[in-house]
Amino acid sequence: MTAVDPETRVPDPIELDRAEEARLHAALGVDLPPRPGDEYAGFDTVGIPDRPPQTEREAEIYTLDEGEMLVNMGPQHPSTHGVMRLVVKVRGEVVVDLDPVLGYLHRGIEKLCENATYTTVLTYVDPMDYLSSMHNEHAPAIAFEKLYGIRAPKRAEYIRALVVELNRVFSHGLMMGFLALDMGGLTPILYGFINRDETVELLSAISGQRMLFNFFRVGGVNWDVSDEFISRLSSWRSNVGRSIGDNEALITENEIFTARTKGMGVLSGERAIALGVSGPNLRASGVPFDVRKAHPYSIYHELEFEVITHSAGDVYARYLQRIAEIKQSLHLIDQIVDQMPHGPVQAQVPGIIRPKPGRAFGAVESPRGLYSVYAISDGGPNPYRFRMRDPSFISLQVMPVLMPGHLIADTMAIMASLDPIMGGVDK
Amino acid sequence: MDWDLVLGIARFVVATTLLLLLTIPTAFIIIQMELKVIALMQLRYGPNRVGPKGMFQSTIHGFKVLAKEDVTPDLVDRPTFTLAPWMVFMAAAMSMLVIPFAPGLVAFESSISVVYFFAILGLSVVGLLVAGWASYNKYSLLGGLRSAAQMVSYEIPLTLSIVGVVVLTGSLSFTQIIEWQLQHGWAVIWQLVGFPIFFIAATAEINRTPFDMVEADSEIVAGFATEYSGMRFGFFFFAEYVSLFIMSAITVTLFFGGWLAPWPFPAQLEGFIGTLYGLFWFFLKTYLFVFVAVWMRATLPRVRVDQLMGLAWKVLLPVALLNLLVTGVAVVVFNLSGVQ
Amino acid sequence: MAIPGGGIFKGMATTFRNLFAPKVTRQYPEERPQMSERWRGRLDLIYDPFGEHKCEVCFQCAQVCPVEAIDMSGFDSQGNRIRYGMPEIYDERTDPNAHRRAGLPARPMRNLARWDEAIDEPWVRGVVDGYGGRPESLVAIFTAVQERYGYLPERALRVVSDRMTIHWAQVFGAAGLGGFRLLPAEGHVITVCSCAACRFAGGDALLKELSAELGIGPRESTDDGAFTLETADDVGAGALAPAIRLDTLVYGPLTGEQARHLVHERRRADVRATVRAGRAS
Repeated sequence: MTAVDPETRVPDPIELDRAEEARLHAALGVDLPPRPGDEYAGFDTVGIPDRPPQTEREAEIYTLDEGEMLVNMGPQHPSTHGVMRLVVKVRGEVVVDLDPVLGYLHRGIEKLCENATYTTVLTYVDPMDYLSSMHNEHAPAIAFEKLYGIRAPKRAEYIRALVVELNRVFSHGLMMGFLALDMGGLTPILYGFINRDETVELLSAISGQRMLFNFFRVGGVNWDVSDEFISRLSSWRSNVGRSIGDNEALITENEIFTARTKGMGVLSGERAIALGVSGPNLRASGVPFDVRKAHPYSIYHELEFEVITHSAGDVYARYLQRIAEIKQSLHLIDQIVDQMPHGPVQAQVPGIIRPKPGRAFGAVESPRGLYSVYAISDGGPNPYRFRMRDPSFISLQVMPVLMPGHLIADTMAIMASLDPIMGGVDK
Repeated sequence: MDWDLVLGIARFVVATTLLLLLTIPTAFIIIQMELKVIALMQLRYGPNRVGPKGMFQSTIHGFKVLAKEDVTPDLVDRPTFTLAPWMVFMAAAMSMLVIPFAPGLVAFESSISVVYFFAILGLSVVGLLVAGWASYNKYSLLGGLRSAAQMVSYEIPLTLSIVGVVVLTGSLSFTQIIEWQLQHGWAVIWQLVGFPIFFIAATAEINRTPFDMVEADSEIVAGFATEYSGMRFGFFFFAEYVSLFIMSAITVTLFFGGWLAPWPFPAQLEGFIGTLYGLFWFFLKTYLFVFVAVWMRATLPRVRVDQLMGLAWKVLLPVALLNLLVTGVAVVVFNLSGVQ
Repeated sequence: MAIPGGGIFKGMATTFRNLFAPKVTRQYPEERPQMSERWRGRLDLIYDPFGEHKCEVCFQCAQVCPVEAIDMSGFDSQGNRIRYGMPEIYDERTDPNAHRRAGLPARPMRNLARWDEAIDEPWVRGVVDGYGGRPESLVAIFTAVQERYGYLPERALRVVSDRMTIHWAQVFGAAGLGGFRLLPAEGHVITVCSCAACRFAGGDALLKELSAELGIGPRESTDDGAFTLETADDVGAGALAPAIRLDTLVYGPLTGEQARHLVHERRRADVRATVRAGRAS
């Protein structure tokens, strides 16, 4: 066997990390890196680094007053939102401050998209906010169509709106389950998954996939609705109320649930606007902002629906808001199925599109809020810059604002009501 | 030789052994019920491969827990760490001694079995505290203290609602309470307020949903049992299921007639057949309450800790006191019990 | 504060009702799910209405795969067997760990290609530059590299790909074409061609003769490490069936007698070379 030449050997990534870490330690003036086997030497069990704080926020959260304690709700959560670390500063049982630590699910999607053709970008964005894949694809499709200067045909727009509303139905249904699960109710999440399973089977009849749909194309959608889809749609429509209704019966009037959610995590309308929150969280605080009405895209200006709001702004209001939106989405689906015109489902675009240099912005109303894409094209086959603004990321910064004053047990309830999906937060 | 004494001791030893042996299938059956009933309520099947219809799943779980590795952290206080699960289990097992399973089928017949029962049950709190302290872990300590606080505060409405029955029946002995119910009808009809209080307090006492903040604590790791693994951990949860059985048995005994059959059936029969008959009805009613507890677990979310304590002290306690007052007045005015 | 009331009972009534409702679980594997017609999750090659595979083995998918996850082999339109991918993939039936997992006795792996082995990169670059970096000269470059190392090390191929700015997958795919080894060899490598034409012309008998002569089976080496016997689907023999390749030289058409003679000659040449080297030192 040929020997490995030290000169030309490609170093193992972990050696590079250790070299980098040693350099950083030296630069920051910390004495010794931890001995092997003693990796936690410089750290508290919570994970407070033993170097001086590097930002104001770090200083704020890691300085403990008298009687305060840091509790680390670590990356491996019993909860369902994904991998996220919450550093919670508590005094006794009461939360004083909270710092979410993100980035555990970062996949470098924005950078990957810079090396991919425009059609490939639409497949890369699917697993971002993986429970609302259709919305993830819709915004870039709008932006790219603006860049390329085409419009999708009418029928394609109707199909897009149809699948997007279906996606909204099961995403909101699951949120009800997550909220109950974080409070200890074991059953609603299973009913939510029954609903999701049925809806996702329906979507697989049109897009070929059950989860990461890859259905949108620049200029339309991939396939037309099939007969199988139509037949499954009518049976789905008659069944969908059942599991949602079961969930409602289990949760909405349950006194234990209302005692834990009413008046909890109140977000006022002005605060929400100042923080950039959008979607059901914003509408539950009383602000009637819905992207489908405010900046109509696709065919929403032809459909009849209203913007529902609740004024309380607490966890219970956010929960009720999502139930109302499910019902509204069902109403929208009925209208779309009635009004769908005939026609092609994809505009004529070449395999690799090369839009003229320019910039474009596309925004949609995803189940979590305003999901938007800003694309810059330089004339080549790949986008020059592809920036996604994910609403879960913005909603998470509301947590340190809402939490102080509540108990630790409410952390999960409030976070579940904001409905973040870490795939979208970290991209 | 005093044969009576020897016979008495022998009988006691046999009864105690049988009871301890009874706890094992009881726990397995209750775990199996949890798995299957909750699953069926969630529109799924639950375990259905191990044994016919999945009947042996919990038994296999029991053997699996025995085979797990027992990890003991370095800095724990070894004697107390080992004793804590035993304490919790012993409290539950010892309190089983006074439960009347059928006419004449009580391990330890006493005229003050009610007092004995609730006193011994309170010892499980000590076990939890010891478990929380002995694990060298601030989160376990917090969890243990919290669960101890919960159990202690719910003991008061628990015992107060019992006192209503005691005043009504004029006796502190379980068998005599059942005798009274034979003549006057089941105590639940007389104690329409006392029964819900007792049921809620009992659910909180054994840390079942919706009061299971202690064991399902998703923020402070796993509460007092964090550092336990393998069979020691199994012991805690074994003890919990046995306590569930015991609490259901006491509910049935105090409020629902114990071994007596409901109205269309003859209340009790004579002789050996009578024992079997009573046993059958006793277990049926007890497992009905176990089913209700499992049903609640499937449906209800958890009550928050401060709301839990608020419920005990601000709601259940005053209502229990009121119930006691009304019962006492009614007993004196209407001369219901046979005792002056 | 939670005082039990109507809401709780409503919830409990719902779960009680669902206790008796029909369950939604599908008992896999007894019940298989009914996937939609358009379901894209199948990893099948599709047949056309005439019964042929629709796959053209054009390697486009393998070349464009961003994580190089696709290895494939097939027949091109001339009927030659072509392949694309690491040799270990095709040798996975001899993978010792697979044997161990199956409970069979495992032979130790030999001759693994190392991804990080040292090669003379300046020399490889020199070879490439010598041919002017023209893509047509890829095979000649490969021949040169194989003459020096006895096989094509992966690092060398990467250098070639870098230097010629040809996609790595294309370079690798070309290396799978007739005649190049991607694994190091022990001693002289005798490759018996097992393409359809050579087999037809008596290649099997040739293989048996050589096995008997050397005392080893295919993919084995003699004990003194002098010869390794192999089969390949393409030795670049053109129309000389049945053909064998000894190191880089192709001989054919051969009879068994001639093949054995070849081996003897090679041995004697080796001995002479060793003696000469011994005398020189």
